[in-house]
Amino acid sequence: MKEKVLALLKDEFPEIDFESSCALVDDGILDSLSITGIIAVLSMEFGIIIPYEEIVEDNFNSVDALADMVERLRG
Amino acid sequence: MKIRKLLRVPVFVILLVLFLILSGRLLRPVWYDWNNYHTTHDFYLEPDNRIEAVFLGSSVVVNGISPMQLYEEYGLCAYNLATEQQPVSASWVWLQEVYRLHQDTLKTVVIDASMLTHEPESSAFFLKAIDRMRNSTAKQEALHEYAKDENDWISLLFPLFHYHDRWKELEPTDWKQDESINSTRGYNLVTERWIDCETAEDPALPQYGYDPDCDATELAVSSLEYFDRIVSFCHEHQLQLVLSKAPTANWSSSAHKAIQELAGKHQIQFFDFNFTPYIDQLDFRFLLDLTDGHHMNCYGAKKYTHWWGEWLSGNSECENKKGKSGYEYLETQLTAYRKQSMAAVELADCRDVTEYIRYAKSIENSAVLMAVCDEGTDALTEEQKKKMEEDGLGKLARLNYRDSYVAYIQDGEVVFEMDQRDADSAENADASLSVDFLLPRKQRVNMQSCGTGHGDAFSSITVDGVEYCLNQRGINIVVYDYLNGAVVNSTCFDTCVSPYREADYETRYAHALKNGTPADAMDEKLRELYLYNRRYDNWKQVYQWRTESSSMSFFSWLEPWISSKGYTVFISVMDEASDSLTEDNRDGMLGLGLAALSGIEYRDSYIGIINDGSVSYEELDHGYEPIEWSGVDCLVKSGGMDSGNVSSVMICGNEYSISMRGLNCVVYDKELKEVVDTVAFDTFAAPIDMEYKMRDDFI
Amino acid sequence: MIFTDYLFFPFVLLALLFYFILPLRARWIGLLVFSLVFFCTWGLDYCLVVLLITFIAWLAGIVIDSRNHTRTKRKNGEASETKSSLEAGESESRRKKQNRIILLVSAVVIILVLVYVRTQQNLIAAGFFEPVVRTVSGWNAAIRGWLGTIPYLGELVSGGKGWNTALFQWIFGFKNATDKTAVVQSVVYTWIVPVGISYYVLSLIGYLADIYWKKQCAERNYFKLLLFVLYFPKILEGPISKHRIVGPRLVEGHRFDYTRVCFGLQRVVWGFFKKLVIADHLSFLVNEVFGNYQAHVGSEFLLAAVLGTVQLYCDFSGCMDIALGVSECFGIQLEENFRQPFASCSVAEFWRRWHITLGVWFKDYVFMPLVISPRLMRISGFLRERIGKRAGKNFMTVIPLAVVWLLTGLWHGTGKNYLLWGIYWGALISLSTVFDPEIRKLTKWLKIDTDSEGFRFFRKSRTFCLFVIGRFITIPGSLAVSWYTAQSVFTDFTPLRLVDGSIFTLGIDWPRFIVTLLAAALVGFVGSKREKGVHIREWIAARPLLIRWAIYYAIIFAVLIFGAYGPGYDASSFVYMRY
Repeated sequence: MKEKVLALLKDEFPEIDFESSCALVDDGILDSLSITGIIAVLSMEFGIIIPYEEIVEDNFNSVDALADMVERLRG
Repeated sequence: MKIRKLLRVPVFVILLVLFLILSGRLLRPVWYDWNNYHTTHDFYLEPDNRIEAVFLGSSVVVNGISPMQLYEEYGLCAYNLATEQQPVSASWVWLQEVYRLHQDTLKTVVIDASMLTHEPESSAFFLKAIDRMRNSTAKQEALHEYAKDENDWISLLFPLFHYHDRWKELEPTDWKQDESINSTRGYNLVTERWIDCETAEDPALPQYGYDPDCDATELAVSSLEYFDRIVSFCHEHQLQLVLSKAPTANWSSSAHKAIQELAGKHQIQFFDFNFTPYIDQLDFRFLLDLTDGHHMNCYGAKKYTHWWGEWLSGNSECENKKGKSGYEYLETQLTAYRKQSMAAVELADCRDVTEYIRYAKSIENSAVLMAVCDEGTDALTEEQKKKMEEDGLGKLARLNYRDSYVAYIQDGEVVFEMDQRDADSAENADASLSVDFLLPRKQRVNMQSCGTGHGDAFSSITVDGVEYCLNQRGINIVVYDYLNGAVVNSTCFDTCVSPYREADYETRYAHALKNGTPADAMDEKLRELYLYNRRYDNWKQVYQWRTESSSMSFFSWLEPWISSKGYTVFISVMDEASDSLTEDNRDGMLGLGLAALSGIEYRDSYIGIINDGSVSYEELDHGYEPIEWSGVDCLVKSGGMDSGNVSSVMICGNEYSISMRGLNCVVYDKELKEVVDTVAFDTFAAPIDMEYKMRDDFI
Repeated sequence: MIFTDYLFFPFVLLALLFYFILPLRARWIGLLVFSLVFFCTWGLDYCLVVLLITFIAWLAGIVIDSRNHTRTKRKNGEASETKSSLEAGESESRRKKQNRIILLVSAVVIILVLVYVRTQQNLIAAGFFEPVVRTVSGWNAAIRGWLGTIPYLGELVSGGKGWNTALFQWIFGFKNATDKTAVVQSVVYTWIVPVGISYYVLSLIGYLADIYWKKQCAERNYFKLLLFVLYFPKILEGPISKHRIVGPRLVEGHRFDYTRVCFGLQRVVWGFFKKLVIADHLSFLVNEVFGNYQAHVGSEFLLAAVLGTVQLYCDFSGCMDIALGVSECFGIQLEENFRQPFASCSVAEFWRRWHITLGVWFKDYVFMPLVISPRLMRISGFLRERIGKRAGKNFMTVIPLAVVWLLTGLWHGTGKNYLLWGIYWGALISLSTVFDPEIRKLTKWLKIDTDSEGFRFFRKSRTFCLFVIGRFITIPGSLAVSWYTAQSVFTDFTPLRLVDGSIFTLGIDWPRFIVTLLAAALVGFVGSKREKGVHIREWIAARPLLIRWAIYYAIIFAVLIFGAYGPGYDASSFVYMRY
């Protein structure tokens, strides 16, 4: 799952290095605009609906966290 | 550890408060002009319960009343608490303050009416008037009323908040303040005369005559409110309150009427010195006794103060305090006053430059600063030069034609002199003299001089950056009191042209009149004075006829204009002018030389001209056309009812005839080149002494 | 009372004294009392408004919160039943969810309507709307009145006034044409009168939304919520706080800490320095040049716009320093609103450093919910398939951005120029996001080293210039003047005016001008140090006593002597307090 997510993200955002840290949001590597893009691509690709409560730093700070969130929401 | 930390806090705060207070003191302005600083400063040095009379009002009073003279002549203990543009609200506060300190002795309050007719130019004058007042309930209340909101009020309480913006304008006077007294008790002495003021073109005449039919001006509402408080206060504390109006060039009958009504309402006396009889009692002459048209100089103040001294002695409870115990300090002040303040008058009266210098040297704490402009020694006599040598001014005595020169005399000793040789050796670019030095109290002085022979004529004497030199041709002298930081006198002797200054105006004028010098032969200023007096006399004559003559007939009107030379009287008939004439009237006319007029018939046209007292032209006409007479720049027309029904007296393109039925008369002063009066007598309807009409705006 | 009143400082000292005397648990009550007093100095009627609004929010919060818990309870309860009822449970929860949405929206609407009605009351009290006053109970007459003014609507809108004021006037149906200017003025006046309303209403909406999204529980104590709303350092100009972050800090009592109080006071003095010495002086110049625009030329407009930017920054961040400094004395940390904004390299970054709490509010409560809304997702997906990935991604970014910036513009001001301003920034950010790949390609092609100092400086200057252009839109009161002044920069530059000494006649004379510029330079210097991570107050604390005290006294006296206050200065209202 993680590789899939990483590949997807790399494809969508070639300029961002997703593996450079475990605090992507806190370090400012991801801003609100890129987060929207990530949400869009993830929901489109995996067919999930990301509820508002899930949009927190913890879920977006690393690729692992993102992958976990996708898993969770897939059911 | 903790305690030490916490101890730092109070220390920090205390130091902060200290800095705040000090900077507040520094930034607070000190106004030396108009005697502002000394009026308040010296007031608080007065021992309690001494003052019996206090004068309140604006700068007019500051320049007008000398309490020291009141003491000298009548032994009165008075104080001049007037300040520049003092609004009535500030007068109110000062009244409370003077009462607070002198309640046992205060008897009379004289307040000038100038500030009742208008608001001061800026509300900041209120603050200027009371800023240096000591803290008291009255002052706090006043500030509270004045402040627009809490923020305003708090900034008024702390000078730092109020004046912090002055950091850009700090002057040396802010750093060191004057602690001495100047012994004038609130009076500001100036010696300049209005006639010397270059901007005095067409100076206004005194009002002299009051017009009771005018509309009273509206008095400023806020001023009235505070005036009411003053009245109640005086009533409550049994103080005698008097209204006054010093002679100025901007008063009017309307304003007088308004103040008169106000005074009547409160049953207080009002003395208006702009009108007869008071202006006559003062023998006041605007051009000589005012300094700028509004404020009195020392000559006017002398008369004004004298009048008040006499009045207070006879009409108030103020007593003669000379020799009384507790009032000895006034004697000491009087001596100091004579020395300091009267020195200025003495100097102004000096005719001879050497006498001037000698007298200036003798003044205590004086710095005599001299600079030549253009040319300064060509007319000096040998005696004068000898005196200068004796006084240590050798270089001045030997100064060459059109040379530059500066000198400094301190406390009677010549400190230095510099002439052209010093200028040349200094290698200035323009061969002028320029020198900088310090006075004993650290005032910075810069003096410059340039004679015409070596460049553009110029002179300058500045103390702490302020220019005091008159910069006129001759020897410019500034006498500076370095202890009090004030200029005693600044003048210029045109010793290029004449060794002596002209005598004062009164002397010269009297001299010229006695000699019968014609106006054209007088010098410029004297002629101005002469013409001004003529206009004033004319106006007095007109007014007196209007208000005082027992019978206002054609004859009484005509009398003054034919008994002196220099007038031309034009008579032009309109409509009908004969029906009411009696035999006596006609005889009178015949007696005056008006032969044709004495024979005037029903609806006749008539033109008569009396020149220098004798009839020079008459024309009587019964025809159907109006008649005309034309002279240089004037045209007279007359037409009876059937002959055009017209009357016209055109002089220099302006119409002066009243154009009423009857005799239209216009009198013209040839020397002043202006119309003095225009009147019309309806001798158809009424006897010659009953129906007349005057025109007010003919001048 | 505003921060620059003389009484504010004694007020704060008194509040501090009471705060630290009271027992720990009761300290928040002391804060509440002082905040109430502070707010009441603005007028007792506004106090009633805020009490009412807080009450509605408090009630709504509790209701939503209880429904949240019911839903969870019900779900748990249902889990033990048969599986077939799982579906029933889902539709049940969906219905409940819809209920909650309705509830949430209605709470929001009530708040807004109350605000709106409140502003009308002022106008009614001022007697401008006689028909409405008489027909408060008679709706027929009111409707008749409205219909009668339809012809006026076109006239009003084309007359060049703001669209909202035209709508406003139309709704209240006043017929007297001569009242227009007076009413417009009173509209503007009463719109700005309810103090701080724009800030605390946003805070409360955020609070309700957070409860709805289960990010926090409702505040059960009305008075604690009231304290959050009225807390006096932040009531006037923000920051727009989140209840879940600041609420607990307000309520727990803090112990006295000497260092913290000292730092807080220092920050307050620094805030006054920025506000009084820089911002208020510059406001004279800016007002003179733009207020009296016919008398000035392009170069002066440019100068005034640049200085107007400095003024706005110093004014607003100065107030933030005062607010946060005062709060720090109490031990309550509020959110930062500024973080060296002129060090931003991009427009998006700028709005993460300028008025931070507003940006965060819009991000959390408008942008994100829009982004994840199903409808938007669907359209975005549609575009993705039909046109391409990039189109879909851009759509998902641009549409929410557009909404956010329109609303941001409106929040700042109720006129066409603010709308344009919102559109301007929205367009800038959208364009920079949409064309990001192209820009990267361009810089690569031009072989520009994006990490070099020079390039970063270029980017920072660019951001500054873009902000200055934005100021051209908002400083003058109308678009016509904005256009005129912006045009003059090119058509009538007259650079000589800048050097012939006439800049010292534009409202501040040369001594003040020099002082202001030096002060601004100092602020810039301190900011650059902050950006590099230096903590100024700690740096000062590490110096020996004499140096420390010299610095403190210097700044305090700089404020007291050079500050624009006292008689002779207009009471310059804080730029952002009108919201």
